[in-house]
Amino acid sequence: MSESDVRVLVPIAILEGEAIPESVIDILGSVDVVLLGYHVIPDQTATAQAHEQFQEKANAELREWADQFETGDGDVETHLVFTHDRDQTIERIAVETETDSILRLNPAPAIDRVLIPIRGEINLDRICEIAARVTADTDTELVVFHAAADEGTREDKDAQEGRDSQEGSDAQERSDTQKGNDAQEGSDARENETPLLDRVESRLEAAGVDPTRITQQLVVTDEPIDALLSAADEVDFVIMGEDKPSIRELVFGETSERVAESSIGPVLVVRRLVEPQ
Amino acid sequence: MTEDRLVDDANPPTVPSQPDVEEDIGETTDETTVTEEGTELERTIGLMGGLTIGIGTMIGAGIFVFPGLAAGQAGPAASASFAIGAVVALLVALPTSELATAMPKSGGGYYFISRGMGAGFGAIVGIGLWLGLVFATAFYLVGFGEYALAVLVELGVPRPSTPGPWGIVSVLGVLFGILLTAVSITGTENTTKLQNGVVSLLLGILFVFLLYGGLDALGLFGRDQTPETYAPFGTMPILTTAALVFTSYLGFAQIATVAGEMKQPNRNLPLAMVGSVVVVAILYVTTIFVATSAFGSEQLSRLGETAIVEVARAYLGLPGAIAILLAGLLATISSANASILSASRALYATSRDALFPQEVSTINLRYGTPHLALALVGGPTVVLVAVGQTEVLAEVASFLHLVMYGLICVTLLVLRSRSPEWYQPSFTVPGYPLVPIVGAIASFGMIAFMQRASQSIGVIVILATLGWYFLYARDVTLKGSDADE
Repeated sequence: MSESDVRVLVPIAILEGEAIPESVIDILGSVDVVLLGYHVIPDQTATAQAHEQFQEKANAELREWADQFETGDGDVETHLVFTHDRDQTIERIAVETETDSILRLNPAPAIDRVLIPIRGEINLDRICEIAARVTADTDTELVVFHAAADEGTREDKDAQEGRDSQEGSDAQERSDTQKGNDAQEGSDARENETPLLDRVESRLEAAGVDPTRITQQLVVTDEPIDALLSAADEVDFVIMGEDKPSIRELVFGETSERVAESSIGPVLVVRRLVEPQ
Repeated sequence: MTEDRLVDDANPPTVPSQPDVEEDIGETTDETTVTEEGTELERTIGLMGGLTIGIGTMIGAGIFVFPGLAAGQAGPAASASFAIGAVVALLVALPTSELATAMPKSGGGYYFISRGMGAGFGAIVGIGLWLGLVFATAFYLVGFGEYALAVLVELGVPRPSTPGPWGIVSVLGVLFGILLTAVSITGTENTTKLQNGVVSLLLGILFVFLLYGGLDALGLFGRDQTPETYAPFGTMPILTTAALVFTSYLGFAQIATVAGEMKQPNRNLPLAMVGSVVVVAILYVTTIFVATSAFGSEQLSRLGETAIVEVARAYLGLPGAIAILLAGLLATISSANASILSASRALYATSRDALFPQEVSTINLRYGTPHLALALVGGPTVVLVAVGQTEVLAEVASFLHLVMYGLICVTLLVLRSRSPEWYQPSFTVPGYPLVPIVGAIASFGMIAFMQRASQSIGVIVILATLGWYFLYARDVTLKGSDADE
């Protein structure tokens, strides 16, 4: 599989009335889609039992969704799985189909603004590539977001104290609509972050995104996750990477899951690819 | 794994109205079963899950219910009884593992026997397995009732009076049985994780208890030994006790009933089956040793089903007693629950082959569970619990399972000698043909040592099953079985 393939895994809980919003189908129209229809059954039931009874119905429903996706440009591949463990199934299909981006479904009446939170260098190129491809045929605004954690910006905060009306750890938002010229009015530490966002922006442009659609959003805060969650509230769709394995993730849950739960729009999660054998 | 695609040209259906209903479910991979339509059935149970199903089912009986009863009948030689049971179980576990790797489908023993020896034997085993598990579940629930009562007594609650002739133990068992059935019908997900946790906790408690008790009994802590001859009642009771306590080994074959959902079945099925028997055998023998070193056999017998609590109290005081009480509750609950899950899968496998009405395995869309099958397990169980006769329940359960175990060994011999194309096990029994032959003899032979009452009930059940077969399922031919030629 070549790195330039963009394929999105869309897991849908078939037979449970979960729906894929039309706006999502549109936005994914330009990429290849792996449509995974899954049905979770309780332990009391053998998978074969559920298969016998629900196979036809599940298949018919899956076909309907596949037909809708096929109106786009990309290829559509379908899988139907009966399982006791949803996460295991999604994981396995992602590995088997070599798909590194997984969609978390949420209702989405219209997708006008897309948030692309960037944490750091991890998988940066891939996330940009996927974001560019997915939004290729649309007019959506792309908001490139970064929340700088406290440590990296301590000098920054001191320097800014004169300018701020609030002290302490309140989040400060600055929107930068130009390519980065005005970033210099910030402080030293901000220069650490701004090149990151600039790099993201130029990567997106290199992939064919119209620069006027791109906005940068840099937030300095003690609570980067909370800042991310509130930024996600103001957009219709989020494209983000996975966490590095960490204690925080163990205790609070994977960040992308939290975003999916708290935001109204769908979340496209880009995973770090494991090296192929 | 090659697909099971025998065409029975040699055996056309005898009655056109009864269709050949067997269709092999699909191709097996390590993580899934792939059906003809391309649908994947996810395999989610790993080695750990398999071991906990086996161990979790078996421990409930062997450690928490039987020691008092067993010691009462055979004295300290009851450890030999458990050892005999372990040997028989292993002799059966090995052939079962081979058959399971050749046919990793849910339904376990029923599936092997019906494919190897035809629908007649299939009916006996399928229905016998269902009823055997019903009796076993009833037995576990009575055990639960005893432990629940012991907890109440420990807490100082005055013994409540009960209506009519039923003891409080039966009432507690019945109530919990109804609860467990209701919970099963409403469906539970991720119980395997819970089961893993419960069994790990149980093993932890037992390990500490047995280690301490064992060292103490060996005199390391300066305890006075309880002098008693090893076999105070002679050798015959050792064998009859072995037949009684064989219920303690009924869990390993249950692993085969979830074979269709096991990951890497070729590796995990044999490991889980043999491994669980070995682990529990060690625990049982040690338990008898520890128990009979604390009290004489007569006293143990008087303490009855919850004897092990008093043994724990003798070695470790109140905390020991409480830990074992808690463990006993957990163990009997997990055994009962695991048996209910197995029984409903056995019913599913049987009804899928039209040996039983197909409505039985219908899943309701609301909870996703086969409510009728579960009710058919829970209902009779609750009735039997009300009867409350621990030993008879245990022996009838063992009887029906031993019939199946014997038939599994015979099936192995039959399939190996016929060697059909589709039979490709990845695990083969060491010591063939001796192991399955001795296994069959030992299984059927053990039945001879049971109480008259249990034998009679067992025989009645088998005859009833045969009657059912001749009335209802006579004309069912199973595609993929050679035996009906």
